[in-house]
This record gives sequence, C-alpha cells and structure tokens, in this order.
Amino acid sequence: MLRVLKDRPAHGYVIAAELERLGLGALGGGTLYPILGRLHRDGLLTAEWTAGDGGPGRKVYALTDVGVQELDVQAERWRRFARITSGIASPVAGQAGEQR
Amino acid sequence: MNKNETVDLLAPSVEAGWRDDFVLELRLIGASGPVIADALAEVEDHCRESGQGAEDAFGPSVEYARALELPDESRWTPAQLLRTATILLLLVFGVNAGLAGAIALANDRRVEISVGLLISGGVSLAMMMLVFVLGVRLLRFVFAHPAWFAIGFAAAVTVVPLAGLPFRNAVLGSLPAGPTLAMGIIAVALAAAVAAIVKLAGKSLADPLVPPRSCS
Repeated sequence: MLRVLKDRPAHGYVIAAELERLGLGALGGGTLYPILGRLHRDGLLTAEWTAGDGGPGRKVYALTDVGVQELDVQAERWRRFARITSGIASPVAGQAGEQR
Repeated sequence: MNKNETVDLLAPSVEAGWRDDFVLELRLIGASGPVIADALAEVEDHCRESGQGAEDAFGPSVEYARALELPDESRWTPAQLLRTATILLLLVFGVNAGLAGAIALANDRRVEISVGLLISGGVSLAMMMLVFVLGVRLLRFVFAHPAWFAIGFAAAVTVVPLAGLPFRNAVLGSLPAGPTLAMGIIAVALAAAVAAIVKLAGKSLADPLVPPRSCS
C-alpha cells in the first residue's frame, strides 16, 4: 500500500484496484481499510476528505515523510528476503553465480 | 435531522441492515459520532465505486467494525459528570419532594423527613449516575448478557425503595405540605432549564453522526 501511495495520493478503492493490477489479488474492503486506518494512526499516511461531484466526498490517503522512510526500510527488507529465498529455491543457480 | 436521515445521507448505497448493525457495533465499541460517520462514509464511497454491496465488499458488519480498532472515546469529562449530576440531583429531589408534598397535602398532613427517605433518595441518585457514567459499557453488557442485566435491573428496582425502609421511623423533622410540593415543582423545572441550557450551549451528551468535512 505504501508503494502504491508513493506514486500519488489515492482513495481506498483505487489502492485496492492498483494492488490487484500488480498481481496481489483482490483485496476486500474488510482487509484494506483496517490496514489503512492503522497506517494512518501510526503517522505513515495522511487522510483527507475531498468533495465529491454532487455526492458524498471521498477519503484520500497520502504518504507522510515518515511513511516514505518506512517504505524505504520495508523495500530493503523485501529485497533482502527475495534474494535469500531465491537462493534457497534455486541453489544451483545461486552456486553457479558464486563460482563465476 | 433524525438519526435515520443522517445515516441515509451518509450511506445511501449501503444495505440498511448492514449499516445499522455497523453503527450499533461502533457505538458499543465507544467510537464517537464523527468517527463513526467517517467510517460509514468510507464504506459508502467504496460500495458506490465498486458497485458491490457492503456485505460482499466488507464481510459481516460487526467483524468489520471490530477490525477497524477504533478508540473507545466514551469516557466522560469531569465537566460532563458535574452537569449530569446537577440535573439528576434536581430531578431526584424534585420528584421526591413533589410526590411527598402532594401526598401530604391530600391527607392534610406535614411531610416527614426521615433518614429512610434520604437514604432512598441517595441510592436512586447513585444508581442513575451509575447508568450515565457507565453509558456505553453498560450498553455493551446489556447486549452481551441480557439475562444477567434483567436480574441486575430487577434487583436495583427492588433495592431503591427497600434501602431506606429500616430507617423510615427515624424522623429528622417535618415540613409543611404546600411549600414542599412547590419546592419539588421548582426543582423539576430547574432541572429542565439546566438541561435546556446545556443543550443550547452544545454541551449535551448527544453524539450525532457528523458527516466528514472536505478539505477542498
């Protein structure tokens, strides 16, 4: 979610659609909004209502500076995790790489 | 605008049963009116955008309400406690004095002030305060344990008149019936006036669902 919001502020449904487009599957509102709420309470996101076209407005989330820092930390952890798990899943390729 | 109209305005696309259960659960959790309105408006936005029903998009309303982990804001401030205690004190005194005065006037007697009367009045005041102070927590208990609440309520209703019974003959003095009745009526009127002033000042205990305000 932090990565999606790094590109631009968005409301909940757009975040869910983008996560699905990225291949993470359909995320229900029952999972999405509690997480957004926690990230907001932890100061990683701002949440502001914008006026709708004649109807009720929508709540738009955006990354805070703390959120950007947290995204960098989390991204580095995921990259490390991916390297380790790739080495475990493909040990031959990993060893060949080391011999070169 | 009444409660149903507010909820209709906030979430017209959301199934009525789902949103009523959702609002009730958030009230029981102790979330404030504006926070509940915010959560409900977000459900409405998601349902409108996705074309899904709330049950499909969010699952059962009670589980979703709990998953939001909203803070319990139902605790009272000292000022709220003082205002409520003043109104209740005037009401309890007014009703007791008015009734005692009316009965004594009808029987052409004086009103006897006994220790028992003071104890009963004190106990009923304490119980009324307890109901207000516990508020949401009491409501939570009523929904979770209706049978225990019924037993407790029956016990409380019995205890109030019985509490002063052993001391009913310990008379401290007496008052003339007419002035006692007048004092009772004045006290009830004062309670109503204080309640009206509190409401006009926007400090009543009502916690309506205030729609979230847009920043643009």
